[in-house]
Amino acid sequence: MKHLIAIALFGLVTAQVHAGAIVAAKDSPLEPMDAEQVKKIFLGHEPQAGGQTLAVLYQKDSPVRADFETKVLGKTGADLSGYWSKLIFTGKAQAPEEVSGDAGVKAKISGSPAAVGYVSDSAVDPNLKLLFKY
Amino acid sequence: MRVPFSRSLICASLMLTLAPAHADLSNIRINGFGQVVGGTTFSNDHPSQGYGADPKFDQESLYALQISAPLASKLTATAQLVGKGTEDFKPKFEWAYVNYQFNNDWSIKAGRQRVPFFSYSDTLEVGVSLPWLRTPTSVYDVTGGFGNADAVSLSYSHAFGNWQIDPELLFGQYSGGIKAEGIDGSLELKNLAGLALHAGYSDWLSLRAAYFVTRFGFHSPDFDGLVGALDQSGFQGAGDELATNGDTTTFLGFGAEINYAHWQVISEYVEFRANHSFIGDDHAYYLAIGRHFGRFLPMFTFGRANASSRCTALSQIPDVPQTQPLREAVSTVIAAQVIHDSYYQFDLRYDLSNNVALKFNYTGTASSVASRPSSNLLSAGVAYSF
Repeated sequence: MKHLIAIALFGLVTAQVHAGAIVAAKDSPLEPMDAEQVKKIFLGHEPQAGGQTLAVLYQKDSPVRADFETKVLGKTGADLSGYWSKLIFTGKAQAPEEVSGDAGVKAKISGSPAAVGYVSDSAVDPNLKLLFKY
Repeated sequence: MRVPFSRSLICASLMLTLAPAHADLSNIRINGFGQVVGGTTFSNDHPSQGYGADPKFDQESLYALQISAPLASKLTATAQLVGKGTEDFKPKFEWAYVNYQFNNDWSIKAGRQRVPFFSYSDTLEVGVSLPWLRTPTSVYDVTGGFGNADAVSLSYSHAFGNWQIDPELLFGQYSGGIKAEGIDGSLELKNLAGLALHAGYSDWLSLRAAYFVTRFGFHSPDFDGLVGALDQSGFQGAGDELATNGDTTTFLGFGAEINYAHWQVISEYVEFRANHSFIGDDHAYYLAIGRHFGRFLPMFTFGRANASSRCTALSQIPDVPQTQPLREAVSTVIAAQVIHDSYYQFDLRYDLSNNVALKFNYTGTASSVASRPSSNLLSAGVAYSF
């Protein structure tokens, strides 16, 4: 039992040191943004930026997603799902596209200047434009 | 219910022919929601919300698919296909509209859409987004099940500091069936126009006000027969006062919601006034208080609905023996409009996962009008979205 607790605590610690970044394609017209704008974009309040309609990317269930939701959005789990249900089914916002992991985000971004997503810090590379770090 | 299928189908097929022309198919979003709900009143004497003693599972069960296709960079077509248990789950287009997003603040929507009478109008059928099993009956029954219109609406949305302000202007019309207790008729709303204003402060306070005005028409074989009989008997004045020949009808609503430190408090007040017709003036409210305990949300709701009639038809028919049958028929119609009902509602919601919720509801209704007996309704269900 003690081992389990120790492992759980270790998991918590690693989750806390996790850091991430909001990224777009290198040639994207998007400019670096502040936490408030990131929140607006990822909560469907700002459908457009940089003169285009954004394609917002969420990661499918992953530690990166959990970290982003806790630190940046301040909404998680059923709370966030309920929030999106309201926006989607009232036609107030388009559902974000869900992709698999950092690789999924990078693959989607490489072909679309309107795409914006979050990845873990270690996944940021020269093909991406860094918009915000959390 | 609602408008003939064929017309909706035209809207939808128009969308479908427009959509693939330029749109990347991978950008078409399909989302869905639904619920399975069963309920019983334990007694056949006092039915409530369509339920009787024998448990029923089709009354509020439904499934829905929403298809959203970007047509151009700022233009999106959306259709919502809903199958309801009460209609053998036959799919119907509840919504079919195109939305043009000018920028982050302004957008315009044209087509079949929900009229924002109430705080939860837009998500009435999306059980998974509601704290209750069903929206409070006292207030949400005021429009008699009417909710969608063929309309154009202009929306604005902007943050001013901590305030998020979202006004919406709507102009449209509706013709179709009405679903109200014991009434089998049709509604025609012409020149439906109004404004809904929503203001949110930070993440915890939400306020709204809505005002709509329309030219209202109601018809049913029994009712039209009575109006015809009045006319033939030389009481056209009484017939006009009773009938709804496009008379001006207004709707006023206020709402407030607080989500603070695990507590959720929701309240709405609405008024419905119909001039020169048999239809009663309604005013109704509810107050709901709930608290989140992890995945559980118990909520208690108290509501009241009051309605009285200002109809003067009866005073225009002389009180003599020959007119008694007509007078009785008219007073029955008017008396049926009188409501003084109280609702006590207890809901329990449990989030099974992020997109599935189990719900339980008990609703007790008491009325001080003798012809409206009190009732007890117990219902449970599962609501989901994907």
